[in-house]
Amino acid sequence: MGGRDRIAGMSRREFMKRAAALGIGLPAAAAILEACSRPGQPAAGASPENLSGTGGIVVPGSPYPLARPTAPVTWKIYDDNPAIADDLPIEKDATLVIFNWSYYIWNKVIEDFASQYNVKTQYISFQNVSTGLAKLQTGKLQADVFFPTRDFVGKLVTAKLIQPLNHNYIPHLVSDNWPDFQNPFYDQQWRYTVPYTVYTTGVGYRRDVISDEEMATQGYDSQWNPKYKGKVGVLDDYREVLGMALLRRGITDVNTTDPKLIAQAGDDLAKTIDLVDVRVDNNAWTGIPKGQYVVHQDWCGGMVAAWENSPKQTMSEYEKIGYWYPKDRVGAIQNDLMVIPKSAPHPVLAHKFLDFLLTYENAMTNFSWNLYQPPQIKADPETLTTTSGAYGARYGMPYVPPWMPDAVVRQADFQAGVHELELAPDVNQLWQDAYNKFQAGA
Amino acid sequence: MREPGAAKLTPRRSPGRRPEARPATFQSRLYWPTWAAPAIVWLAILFVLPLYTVLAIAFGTVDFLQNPLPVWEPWFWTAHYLTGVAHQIVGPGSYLGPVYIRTFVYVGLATLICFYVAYPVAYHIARCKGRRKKAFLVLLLIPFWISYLMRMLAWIGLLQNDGYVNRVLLFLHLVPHRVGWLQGRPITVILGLVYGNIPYMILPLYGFLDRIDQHLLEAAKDLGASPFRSFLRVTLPLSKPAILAGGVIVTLPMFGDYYTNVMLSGSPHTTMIGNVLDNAVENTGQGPYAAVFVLILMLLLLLPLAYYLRSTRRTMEAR
Repeated sequence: MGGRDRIAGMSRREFMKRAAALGIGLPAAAAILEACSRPGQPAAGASPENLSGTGGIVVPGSPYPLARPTAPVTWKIYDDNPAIADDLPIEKDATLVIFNWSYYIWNKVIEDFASQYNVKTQYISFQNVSTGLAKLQTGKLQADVFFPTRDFVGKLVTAKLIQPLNHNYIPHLVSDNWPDFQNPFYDQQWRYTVPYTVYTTGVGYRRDVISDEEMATQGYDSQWNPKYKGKVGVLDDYREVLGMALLRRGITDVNTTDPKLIAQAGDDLAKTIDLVDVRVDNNAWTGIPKGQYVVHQDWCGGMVAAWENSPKQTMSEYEKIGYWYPKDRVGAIQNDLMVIPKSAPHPVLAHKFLDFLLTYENAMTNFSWNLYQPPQIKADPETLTTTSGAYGARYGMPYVPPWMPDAVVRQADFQAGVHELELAPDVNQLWQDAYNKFQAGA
Repeated sequence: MREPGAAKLTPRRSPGRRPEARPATFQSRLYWPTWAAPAIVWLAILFVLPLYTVLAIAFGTVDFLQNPLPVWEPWFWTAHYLTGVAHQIVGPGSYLGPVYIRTFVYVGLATLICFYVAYPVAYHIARCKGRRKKAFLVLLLIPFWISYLMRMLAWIGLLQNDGYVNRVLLFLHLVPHRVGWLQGRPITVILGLVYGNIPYMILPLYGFLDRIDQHLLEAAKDLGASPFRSFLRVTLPLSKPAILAGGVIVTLPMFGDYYTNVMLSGSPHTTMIGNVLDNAVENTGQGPYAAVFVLILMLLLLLPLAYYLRSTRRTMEAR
């Protein structure tokens, strides 16, 4: 065979054979290479119809949209993840597994439920929703009810970690709770979620050091006031503290994507390090009553519960604890949720539990201990500051101390307040960096 | 046959000297390795696998849930998070440099204080006899019965504005007014680190000082050395391996400690490497950054460990 017939050291026949094999093999190789492609890359061409919800803000590369009050989201219901059928019997000999934050529900309420439905219960707590979600994702934790925050709904639905709700089992959401939650912006038509608690973020303070009038004047500025040096605290939560710094400047977009505004909020926050020797923790509800802090950013529920940590159990001690929230009610507001994991072993019982906690009597019994407010229609400021629940009655305390009316969350707050919501990953990193810089003492 | 009295004339063997080597049989060479093999394999797995997982996360990515997604194939690794952390530590706009310096200063000071407090205690216990020695050892071990968290919580009570520490200091007129110990003071964090780790310094020191041959001290005395000089020239040099061991044992956990800071300070003024790592672990989508911080911490911890290994090897060679 002449040299011309040889191509790169192989015969023409051999070349043709190899070329054919390559032609057949290329698609397979491409498939193999695709299988071996870099993990974690977003699926190419994630079009709106492929998203797990309609509406909201579409983030390039993300499989789900971000919900905003001005851009609500309706989540898809998947064929392979339907709601349970109507009129199913409650599972027999069941042990309802409740997966929640620690100390975030009164044991008495759980016992009442167990006794009413003649079932057992088990309470498993998580440290934060991220770790809770990670545990659910492993599939090893078979929880019946999970208590996430709003910013995790998109992830939970898209990963099919939660199941749609059958509304027929949960009539009390409509009859007893704020109508907003029948069509909340983060889950239109309440397909997957029901509310558990509503709460605002304001400033807890010592009323024996700062009068209510003075606090109304200072507002967020109290956290930057050198007069209280060494006795100032902020929440260990990057969204809350940076959000407060934005609100202090009158910026109500607490989900801003503007790097300058985020950096400015971080710089403002960093000033508190030398100005007031700020400390970062979530201990306002113990620190304020004990006098370790004069002002501390906190959730209203924390301040409503703070009287329990007073060094002396007297009304005059309780009255030293105050809570400030903007008078125009344009402050941070949030609500926590109850959902049913897709893998729940007792979905019917789980639906019953959700309905049980949404019923006025049970929600208020739980509130009297938990002190984070349920969005009950009848729980108006007048009722909450004058009547006692099952737990508070033992100490002569109403649901909310009468001198703390700002701590009551009103239905209108849900419209007036600003909502800290999930951010796109790149924007979230900007927020994280600003907070990390502050935390580093830089 | 041994001569009568030979035992008396034979010089006492110094600690750590090997007996004369005897030719090892195949059986004796395999005896201990065989016993040790399961534990060595177990340790290797528990070290290598987690380390590789940390690497796979640090050079990996996150999934759409923002959970860390380890990338097991090194050819797909990305330095995205490593460069991100590098920019946070050095260069324009960096902010973590002071945290690393602060951590080194806190750990260095805490280790020094541990040494200055632990050495006399260990020395004293080593010189005690009988029941007294046992009593001291029991007292030394009692804190281990209580969890670290509980001990720190107790300190919070003691260090509060109206706590016993302030009351005693005021009573003795040592301070003009109550001290805000828990208001983000570096000294509180450093003393917290000392308190939490000091038993780990005392125990190895005691173990070594207890084994120092008294005849060496007597010899120094016979040769005219004062007690202080014999301590400086005999006891202290002999206890160098124990000082290094104790130093390494207390230094390693201090570098990664975040809890002491959280409990006793909470101020950005005192943030340490462990707190930065903890923040990254706690926040959604920050897992790979946390893994990078772990790797950096490991590299930093290799320095004291390498120094310890080098020093002990030299000491052994000198003998």
